[in-house]
Amino acid sequence: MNDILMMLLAGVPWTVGVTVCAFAVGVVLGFPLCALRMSQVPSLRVLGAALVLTLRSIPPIVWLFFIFFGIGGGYVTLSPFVAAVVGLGLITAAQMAEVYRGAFAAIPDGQYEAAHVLNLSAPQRFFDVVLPQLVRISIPTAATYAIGLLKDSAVASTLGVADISFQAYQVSQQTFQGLGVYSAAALVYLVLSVPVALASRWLSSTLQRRISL
Amino acid sequence: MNPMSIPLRQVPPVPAVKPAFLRLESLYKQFGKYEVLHDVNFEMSKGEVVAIIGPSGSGKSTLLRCINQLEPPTRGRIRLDELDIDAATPMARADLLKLRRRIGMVFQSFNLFPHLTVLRNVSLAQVRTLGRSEREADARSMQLLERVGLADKAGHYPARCSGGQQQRIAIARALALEPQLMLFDEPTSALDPELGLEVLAVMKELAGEGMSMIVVTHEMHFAETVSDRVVVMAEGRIIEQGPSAQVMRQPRHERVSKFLQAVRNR
Ligand SMILES: Nc1ncnc2c1ncn2[C@@H]1O[C@H](COP(=O)(O)OP(=O)(O)O)[C@@H](O)[C@H]1O
Ligand SMILES: [Mg+2]
Repeated sequence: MNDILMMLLAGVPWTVGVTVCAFAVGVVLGFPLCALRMSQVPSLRVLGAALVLTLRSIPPIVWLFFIFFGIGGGYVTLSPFVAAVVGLGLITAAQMAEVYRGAFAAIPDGQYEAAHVLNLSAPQRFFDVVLPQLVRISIPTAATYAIGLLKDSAVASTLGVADISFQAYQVSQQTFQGLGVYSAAALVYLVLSVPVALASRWLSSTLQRRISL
Repeated sequence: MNPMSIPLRQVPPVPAVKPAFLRLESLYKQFGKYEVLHDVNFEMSKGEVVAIIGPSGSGKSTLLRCINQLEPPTRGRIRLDELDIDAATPMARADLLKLRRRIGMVFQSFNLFPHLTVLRNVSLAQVRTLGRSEREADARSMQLLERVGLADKAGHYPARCSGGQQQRIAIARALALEPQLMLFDEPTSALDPELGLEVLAVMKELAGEGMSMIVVTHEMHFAETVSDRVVVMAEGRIIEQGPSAQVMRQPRHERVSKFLQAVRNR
């Protein structure tokens, strides 16, 4: 049993790695995608909406195969890890773009008006006034999504990333103890999500108490 | 320049009337087809306090917002000191900055930045737009917070302050940029009466110090006792203006006396 657990734990860095990297990609790329989606230019707005819809409606496993076997099988060679990060990162970007859009809508017009009246420049309005509020509003939803992503990162195992699910499959094939192995794997996923949930809880309630957004 | 160095014969003739500090010339504002301001003409001199009253929807907020170009007027002219802004010609960015630098604005909903401490709220724009150092700005902010009686709140977040306190902080934030004209858009309308009083007290003090102010308000007592002049608006037009006592006690128009009666009976 100890050996089984050790094998599963060997997958943790890969699961965490895929999740953290894909989330980081999504958090950053979510901004330009959100900007497209909210653009004044109708054609850009349509493009943004189309991208978000595409990324959100195709199943992650199809995306990953498309990137790994489709694009990766062509001229560029992608490692399973990179392909998983790119695929899940793009899907995350689409989700985050929608989160940011909602957060923008939650910032009252009065904030922009005050910033204008105080003569703040456009970059100052964004970085001093809008962005900090956007981040605070986005945190709870983003954290919920991050926990989902931790679970969904299991799809990376289908490309051969040696994450928790991949290890669980290998071990169960070798030991024929499917029930025990997958129960242990479930437990590892659970233990990994708890700190994220707690951190998000703590962050939101601290910010809430201070600024009551 | 040393005035003594100007030879006497070159002294320009003293104008008969003090030139207006702010002058609005046939200002129009339309939202699409809908006309919100119609031929508004108005002037005030430096140090004057003008109250704007009138039923809701009459265009009072829009008028204030046209003055500092939060809403660009559709037609007409705004002069503030030597700045001359004609709605017909596109406005240079430099002029917009100059205009806004001279005008402070206080909103009904305070609009403090919720993610910044009270002190930072007052200091931010000083650092960003006046180029003051953080230390200079904070020192100035503390003076202003002291003045509105809230120095002890400097380290708090706005959410922990009452509405009345938030509005006084918003006034301090506007004053920190040393405006020559302050616009107030129903500064006490979102407040319980007793909290409104602390805000009105600060505004009265400011008026006493010679600040030029335009105040959209439903506080008839303030309009009558603190402001020098009252402007009454209805349906996008100025329907009456004059010295406060006269407008408030002997309005010339039936419409105005009815409005005053309605407000007083509320
Ligand atoms: N951004 C806007 N777009 C369209 N209509 C507006 C806008 N702002 C104000 N209005 C309309 O203009 C009229 C005057 O509004 P406002 O200046 O806010 O009046 P007041 O401040 O006197 O209550 C109202 O009928 C209002 O609905
Ligand atoms: Mg109004």
